[in-house]
Parts: sequence; C-alpha cells; structure tokens
Amino acid sequence: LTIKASMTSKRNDSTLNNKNLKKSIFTVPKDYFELLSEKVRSKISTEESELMKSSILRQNVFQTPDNYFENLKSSINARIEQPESKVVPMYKYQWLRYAAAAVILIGIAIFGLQKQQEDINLLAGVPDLAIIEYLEEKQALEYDLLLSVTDLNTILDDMIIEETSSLSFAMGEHPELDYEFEYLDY
Amino acid sequence: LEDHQIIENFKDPSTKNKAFNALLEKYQQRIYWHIRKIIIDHDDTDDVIQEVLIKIYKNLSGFREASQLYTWLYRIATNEALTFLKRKQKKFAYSLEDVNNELENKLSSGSYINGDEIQLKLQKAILTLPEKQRLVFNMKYFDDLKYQEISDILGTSVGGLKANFHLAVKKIQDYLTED
Repeated sequence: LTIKASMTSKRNDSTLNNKNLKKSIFTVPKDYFELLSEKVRSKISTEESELMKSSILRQNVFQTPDNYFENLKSSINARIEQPESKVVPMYKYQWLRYAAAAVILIGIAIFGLQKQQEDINLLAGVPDLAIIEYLEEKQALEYDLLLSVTDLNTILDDMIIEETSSLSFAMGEHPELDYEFEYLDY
Repeated sequence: LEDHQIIENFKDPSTKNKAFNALLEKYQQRIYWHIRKIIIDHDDTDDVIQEVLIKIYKNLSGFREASQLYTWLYRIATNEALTFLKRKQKKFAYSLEDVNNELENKLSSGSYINGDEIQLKLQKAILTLPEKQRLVFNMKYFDDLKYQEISDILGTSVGGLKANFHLAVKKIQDYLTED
C-alpha cells in the first residue's frame, strides 16, 4: 500500500514538474512596479507632511457671536413650540381651501410651462454628461435621505389623500359647507 | 443621554421636547461647525442650521436607527449645506462671479473669522478642491471622523474616500508651498 501511494505521488510530482506549469499566468500593467513605489513614496510623504502633522493648522479659525449656541437653542425651541394649529382652523371655509388650491395649481401649471421652456433653453448649453452626473448625484443623496424616514409611505399617502380630495368629497364630510357658501357669497 | 434614549424619549409626547433639547445640547455645535466649514459665512450657516434642526425635529420619529444618529444628522446637514451653495451658484449663473469666489472673499473679509495667515491659506486651499474632496478633507482633517463614518454620511465607498482624501492632501500641500 505504501509503495502504491508513493508511486502515485511520484506520478503527480512529475505532472507538476512540467516547467510550463510553473510559469505565472498573471501579468501587471506596464511600469506597474515603478508606479507602485512612486505611489508608496508619495503616500508616505503626504502622511508625514507639515500639513498632516501641524496642530496649528487643525485649529478652528471660525468663530460665532457671543452666546450664539444658547440663542440658537431658544430660537429653535420657539419655532418648534409654535403649535401648528396656530393657523386658524379653516374647516368652516373648506371650500376656500379648495378654491385656493385650484388657483395655485392653475398658476403653477402656467408658470411651469413657461419655466420649462426657459429651462430647456438654458439646459441646451450644458453638456449632457454634466446633466446626467448632476442628477445622479442629487438623486442619490435625496433618495438615501428619504429612505431613512420610515413613515415615508404614510406621509406620501396623506399627501395624496389631501391633494386628491375633491369639493364633493369635502361636502360629504362637511354638509354645512353649503350654508357657508351662501353666507360668504353674500 | 445615549442616542437611543434620546430617540425613544422623542417618540413619547410627554418627553418629546426635552429629548429634542438633549439632542440639541449634544449635537448642535458639531452640526454647526460642519456646516460652517462648508458655507464659511456665519449668517448663512445660521440660516441653514435652523432649517436642518427643524428638519431633524420633523423627521426624527421616523429615524430607524439603522445607522448612527450623528451620521444621519451629518448627512442632513451636508445635504442642506450643499443645496444652499448650489442654489447660490444658480444665482450666479449669468455672471462671471462664482460661489467659490464669494466664499474666498468671505474668508478674507468676513466677520467671525480669526486665523493667522497660514490658517487662512489652508482654508483657501480647501476651497479650490472639488466638492467631494472638500467634504472628506474637512471631516477627516478637522473632525477626525473615520473613513467608515464618512462613508455612511456621504454614501461613498471607503476606497473612494481614501483616494479622495489622499488627493486633497496632496493638492493642499502644493497650494500651501506655492510662492
């Protein structure tokens, strides 16, 4: 058995002894090793540079007005504590909301058409690649930001509900609207 | 207060505002300095940070804690600061002026800036960098963030960030040793 095993291994050895097999099939780009040592040198010089070692350069040159952060905190608190319901409840004048929405939508549509034409003229001067890169970059950041908000679907659903509600829908909910109509017209 | 506790307290209406104040206490300065380094001007930074903090307030209850809280905060701050600069650049679209020029002028003559010549030169050098290199350089050099953290904030690969930082350092070095 031992003899058999050693014979097999000898045969394997001789197969592997084939000189061609020892040749490396991997190659590197032209001048790779010269470039590599250059890269390493430059990296070391960067890491050991004045810039990276200097503690003075790392100091913050920017300042704020006195007590700025205290004031910032109170002004933010003032903004968030303003109850959103400070806006007078308008349910009585629900129809006004929809009228206003309609006016705004029409306005946006008209403005949008003009703006679009202007934008097209403006964009014509910009290389396509630049536009694509800009849009991709912008979208990636915004998309990621949106993804980190879990309630996104609820928010979007609410927006859709709010935006698609029609006057008749509102009337169904607030039958008193009919009366308000007459009253306000007068 | 731990971040997780802040987020939990924020979800409870009775402790919501207290939790938000704890968050402000803990992070508003870091967020401010991050924006300030991008926008340079104090008044502009003040406008942007207010919007950022309000945005954080409005969206915090939906934060899933899939990433660290401060990377999320930095991300919102970065996004808002860059959007601000882009909006500004749009206004310059038809003139030869450009946002970077304006930022450079503010460095030389703006208020609430106090540095010696070489420190200001460094800030000017940073302004010559492309956007991503500028961001990485600021976060790594001044804020000492790890590549992985910067990668979470900017959504760019660690390898790409390393290359960008290396390039930035090299360019700044050349700039600083010029004339």
